[in-house]
Amino acid sequence: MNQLQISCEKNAFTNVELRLAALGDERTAARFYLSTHSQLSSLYNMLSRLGPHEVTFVQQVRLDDELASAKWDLSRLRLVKLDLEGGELEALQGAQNLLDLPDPPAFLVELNTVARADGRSAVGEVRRMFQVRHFAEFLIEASRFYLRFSLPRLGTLPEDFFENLAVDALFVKPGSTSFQRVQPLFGK
Amino acid sequence: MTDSAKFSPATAPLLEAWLMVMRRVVFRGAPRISSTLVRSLLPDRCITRAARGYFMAIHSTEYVEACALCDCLNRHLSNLIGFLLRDGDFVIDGGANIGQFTLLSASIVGGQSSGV
Repeated sequence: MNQLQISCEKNAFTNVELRLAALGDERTAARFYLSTHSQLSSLYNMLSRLGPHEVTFVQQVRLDDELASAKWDLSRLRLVKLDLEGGELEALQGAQNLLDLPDPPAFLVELNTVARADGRSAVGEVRRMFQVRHFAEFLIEASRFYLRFSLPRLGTLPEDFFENLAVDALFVKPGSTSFQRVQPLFGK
Repeated sequence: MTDSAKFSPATAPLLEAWLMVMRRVVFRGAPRISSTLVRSLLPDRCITRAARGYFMAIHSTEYVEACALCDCLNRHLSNLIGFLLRDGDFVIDGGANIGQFTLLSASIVGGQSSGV
């Protein structure tokens, strides 16, 4: 977060608002596992295989509450990216209003298949949250030729995630503005 | 954090040459070359211009951060975001880490972007 703040200042990006908080399904103080690899820090202790890590406490917030208090213009919200190292399900459970918007944004979600405390991954439940709301789901794959402007292929999500550690999925609601924008990518 | 203006004179052209390649094409093995090059050219904690044009504060010894600088690990996601967003859009980036996609989004939307 500190690095991101420095980057924003260096770029003079005044359009970025940073919130130091964990996303979840309730407002509380939460245990946060800090990995030596910063990108793997998480609310979930999936890190024991990655070596030493520290534990700290952070403020956990619901995305719906944050959006309500900030009073942002949600009609212009086009993308929600969630890469929470296993915490995606709880973050979405705290963002039900966002999912039910008449013109919902696209959700770019890392589906993390690592088993959590109960021994199961949350991938199935994350997908169900979108399926009951009739979102279309796509697996985001790199193009074979990885050129600068080459667009990703939107494929079908596999039923069996066992072999994968994490995959990037895109959920968009048919008829939404975001859906219309990514429509040219279908079938590529 | 060491600003790119304070790097040794040889660093800037070498890094810029590599980023120029990365701006055009990413190939198999590019992430490994990028991480090695960035680690050997830059001090551990530094701010420098990334392949996408904006400045990034990185730890050059971190593989993922070096790759984020060169935009060579998740280029397909960067391209998707670039394709999806327009000027004036609003974005939420949950789990932004060092902000590769936050900075990219902020540079595209111009108006409002958010990292949580």
